[in-house]
Amino acid sequence: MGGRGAEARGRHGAEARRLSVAIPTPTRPLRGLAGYLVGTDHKSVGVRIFGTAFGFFLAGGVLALLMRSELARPGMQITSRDGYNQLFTMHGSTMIYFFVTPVALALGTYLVPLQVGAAEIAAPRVNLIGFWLFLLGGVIAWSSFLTRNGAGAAAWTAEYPQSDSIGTPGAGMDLWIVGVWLGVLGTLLLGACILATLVGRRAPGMTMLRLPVFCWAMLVTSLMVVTSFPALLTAMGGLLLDRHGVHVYRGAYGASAYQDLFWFYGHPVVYVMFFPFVGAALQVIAALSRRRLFGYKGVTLSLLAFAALSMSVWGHHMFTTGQVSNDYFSLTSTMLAVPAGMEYVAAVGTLIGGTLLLRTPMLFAIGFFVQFLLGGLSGIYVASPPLDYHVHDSYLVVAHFHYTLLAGSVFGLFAAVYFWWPKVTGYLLREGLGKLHFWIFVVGTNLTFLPQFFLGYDGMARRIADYTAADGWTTGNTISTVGSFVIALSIVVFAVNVVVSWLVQRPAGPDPWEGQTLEWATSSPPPRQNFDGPLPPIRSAEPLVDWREERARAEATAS
Amino acid sequence: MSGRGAAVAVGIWALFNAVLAALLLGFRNNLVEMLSWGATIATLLVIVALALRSGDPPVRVVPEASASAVLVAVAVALLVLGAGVGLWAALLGGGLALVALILLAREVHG
Repeated sequence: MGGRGAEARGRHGAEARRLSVAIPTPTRPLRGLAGYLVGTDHKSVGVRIFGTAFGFFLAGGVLALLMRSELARPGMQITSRDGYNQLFTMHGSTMIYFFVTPVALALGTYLVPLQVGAAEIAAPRVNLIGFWLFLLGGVIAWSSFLTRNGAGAAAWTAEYPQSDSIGTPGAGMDLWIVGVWLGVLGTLLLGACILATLVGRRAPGMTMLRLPVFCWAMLVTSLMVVTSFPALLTAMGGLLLDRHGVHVYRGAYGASAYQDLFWFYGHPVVYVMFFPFVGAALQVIAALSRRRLFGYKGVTLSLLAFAALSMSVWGHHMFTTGQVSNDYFSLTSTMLAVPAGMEYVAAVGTLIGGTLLLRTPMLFAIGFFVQFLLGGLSGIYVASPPLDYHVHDSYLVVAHFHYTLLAGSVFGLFAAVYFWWPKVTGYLLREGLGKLHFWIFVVGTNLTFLPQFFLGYDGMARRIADYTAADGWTTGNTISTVGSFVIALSIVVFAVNVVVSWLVQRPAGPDPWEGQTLEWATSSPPPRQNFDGPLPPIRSAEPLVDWREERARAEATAS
Repeated sequence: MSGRGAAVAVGIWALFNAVLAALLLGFRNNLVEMLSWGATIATLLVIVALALRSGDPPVRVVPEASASAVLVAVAVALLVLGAGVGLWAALLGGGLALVALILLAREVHG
């Protein structure tokens, strides 16, 4: 290895010094099974995390369809009550631990080194370990379905004492805890690698105030990952020990201590699943408005404030326990509206006066901000303890967080997917199918989740497997179920788009959108060391806009 | 690229967190809450210190592939699985971890 490394250092010479790394032979990325198993290229790892997480999304989505089918009409038709507990537990766990969080970090793993002009991610081996821990964690959590008592059935929060060995007996719950623990450890390592890249691998000239807004979003995301995820590891580690005879949470304040630890992770993770998509959506809006981002410095400061505040609001999940200061957590939760408003000002300010290209990524980016507004505003509503007491554990809360996570973050995710797909694969997705996907997804999400606000306000509790016709919830639930299948249809359209675009490829070229950041200055897909030639000068957060403007000025002077 | 700018950004974030934690002291709080936040701020200070120490990275050889890293992940998974399914998995994981760490050390320092 050392000999090969020395040889590589000599062979790459000046280029290696410029990029601060040398990559031993073979210099082409490993492909196929070997590449999947052991390749360390951050782009390949990012794609693997994305692919694996998307697989979990499909699996979790099937569970959602089963739940919605069960709830479409009064009476038990599809599963038992215990089976339903497993369905909602595995659906929530899969979506949070094994889909949205890792897929957000997959974007960072792929894009951050490119956007900061680095040749590799920091600590590529740790990054690879992170991917595998996440994958193994997901597989182990899902293997709990194979046990005699079935899968974990204490909700994604596994609240104590519901999750202890009496409340949820059996090996399935143990496997769920182990799987979640490993998955969270894996994503913690992925976040740490992104943070280290942002801190120590930026190209010359890439000062903090020249970082693209997506990188700022990933900075606050990874800071939240490394500071809040250990709380979940502590909480779940204690829970596993408690289930095997060690009295960790059995004291008078044990259940409250578990909740404090869990929510110290559980609320920040909501923002870990949000900030990367804010960054992505803002970049899409800026690029496809042909404008620099409005209020860049304000956005960076508001992201820092937003992230800090979001570390301080976990107690609002515990208003009804009587164990936290409702005044404090209500105050900080309500204050979140201020920095969130700044992101909206930046988005609208960029759109106004821009030359809008209403391509699929732009539609999803605008959709992200519109859809998330409903989730965000209903969040302000439940940040008020008297209102929260009324709707706590009701379908209103289910509607609120699905508007933030599915109708919000997943719109941002698809904006990112359509925007960066040409960079990752080298070919374009079809616009027509993309727009069809968008509109079906808009209809599906609103059809599914809007009725749930009314169901919740009317008293329908979350996590119930059944209701009676006399409750008056049948119509709302039927509409919601139809909507969930419309969402599934939109995902089928996306899959068709991927297959069609792959079968008949339309080459994208290095920069199909006239992008603003460094990843558009290299080939599509990028080479192993990310950049073949010298980087363009970095004088702002939009180095390619500067470069184009300088070139235009030079051409004007010459003519 | 100096890590000073990154240290300032992380430092500002640590300050925001410290102010919010201090504010909680004025309300009803408990040990778990304050310990969690204390650990957060301590972690951030370590990151600030690391960022201040970082400079232009030296030319380094990055691996094209790392089988030993994958082995480490499998070993950790088995070790943790042992806590849930039985000692055999933990023992298997422990043995594998030993092998994986030796291989990883050889790969890194090769």
